[in-house]
Amino acid sequence: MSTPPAIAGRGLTMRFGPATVLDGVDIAVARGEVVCVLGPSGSGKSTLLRCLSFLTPPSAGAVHVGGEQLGMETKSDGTTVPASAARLRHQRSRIGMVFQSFNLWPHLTALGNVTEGLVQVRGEARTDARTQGLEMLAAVGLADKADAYPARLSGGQQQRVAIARALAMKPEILLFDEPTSALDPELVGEVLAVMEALAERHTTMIVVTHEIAFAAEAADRIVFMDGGRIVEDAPADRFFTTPAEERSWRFLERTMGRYLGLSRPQRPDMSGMSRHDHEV
Amino acid sequence: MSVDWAALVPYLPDLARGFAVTVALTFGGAACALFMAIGLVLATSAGGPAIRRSVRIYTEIILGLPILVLLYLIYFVLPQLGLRIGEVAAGILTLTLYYAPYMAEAIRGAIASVPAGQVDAARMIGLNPVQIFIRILLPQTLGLLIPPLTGILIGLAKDTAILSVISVHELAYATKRVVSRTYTPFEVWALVAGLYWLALSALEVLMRRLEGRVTRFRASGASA
Repeated sequence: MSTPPAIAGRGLTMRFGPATVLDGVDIAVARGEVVCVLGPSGSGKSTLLRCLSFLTPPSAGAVHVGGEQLGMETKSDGTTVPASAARLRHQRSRIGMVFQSFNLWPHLTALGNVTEGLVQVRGEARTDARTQGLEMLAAVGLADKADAYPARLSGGQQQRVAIARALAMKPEILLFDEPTSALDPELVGEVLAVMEALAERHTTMIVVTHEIAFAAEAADRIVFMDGGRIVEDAPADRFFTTPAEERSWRFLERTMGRYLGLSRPQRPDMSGMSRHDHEV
Repeated sequence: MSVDWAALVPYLPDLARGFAVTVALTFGGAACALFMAIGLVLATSAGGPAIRRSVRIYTEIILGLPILVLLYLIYFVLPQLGLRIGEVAAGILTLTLYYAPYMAEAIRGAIASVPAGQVDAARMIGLNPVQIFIRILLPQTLGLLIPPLTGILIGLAKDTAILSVISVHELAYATKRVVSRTYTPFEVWALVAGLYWLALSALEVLMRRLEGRVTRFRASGASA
């Protein structure tokens, strides 16, 4: 393959004691691609993102970012050894992450949250960081809230600041872990609007979400998970109209009823072969 | 009983010197204990199982020991093992060893109150563990730390009086000496009790002010 995927996980497995939360997941996302990860609660979606970002290194499997393996480094003699903590931090800086619970730092202003990494990690001058930080806040529509502390912001505003904070580090890939699940319904739209704008600009994104309408609108590809495995991995238009797997179809039947404007998916023909080949 | 305050006047400088020593012991002991407490917290969070177990055993020994017994162990028993230290050093060492585990517990509790997600976010931004502690955890936990630390500090300040039994020239020791010269125990002890109360109340007010300062980011949130 000439261009390596922006991010790829191979054989990702995560065990917590006797429980296998992630069971040999393969996923690859091309540069500029928007992938939405759908699936019932407890299907391993969030764990997948934590493994891809190495916040929780997987029990088994490997993650490559732009062809470079996370957590490993290649010595000058060609041997591969576990990466130092500093090296891993550097590798991880190519990934940005947005969390369900925003995770803003409450003792810093909106601008302080956005510029913290620029100043402390990138070592940029405060004035430069400030300029960039204000730009990022403007991009999420919050230029006027630069000096507000998170406690003064609504959930939707906090999540937009969190997106600006991730964007400020200029990551190659953005991971979203249920970014709207903790929001009041009336605040979901403003966050999704920011994410849709990012998708339109072909930002590489993996979005774990329960927002089916957003996934149908913005995603290029849908990864449907259940029981720690990928059940179906398909182009978005095909997934929503003609899912190949019974479990995907049942999930869509249960969840899409709530969204007007999406036609009901066609039930897959189960008489033939089941498409479990990618799980091997 | 006749009360004779005038008899005290010539001895006020002695009491003032004793008070100064008590203040110095309090802050010296508290600083050393805080330093050691941070070491204990880091040892339990980053150290291996052997280190963690030793910290736990040490903590349990201290929690089950009256401070007077610890003081005697250090001042009378250590020299027999060939380790001779002065009474002030023994006093500070006692306060440090005795109060560090309590402070460590307060620090651990405060840090545990910061949601783990904030550390995840900091790691994703690329902050290293020291930056996370200094830039993310410490500023938020200071406000939570000050109330329990105030209680511990006041306990430590009061326990400096125990050091008088090994002849550290602090306020309680000075008081006993003045009483033995003037034979006016009521006046001297009443005065000194008032002094302790005043100083400790001032300390508490001071710490509360400090708490207000470091939690301004919360107040500004509430005022919106």
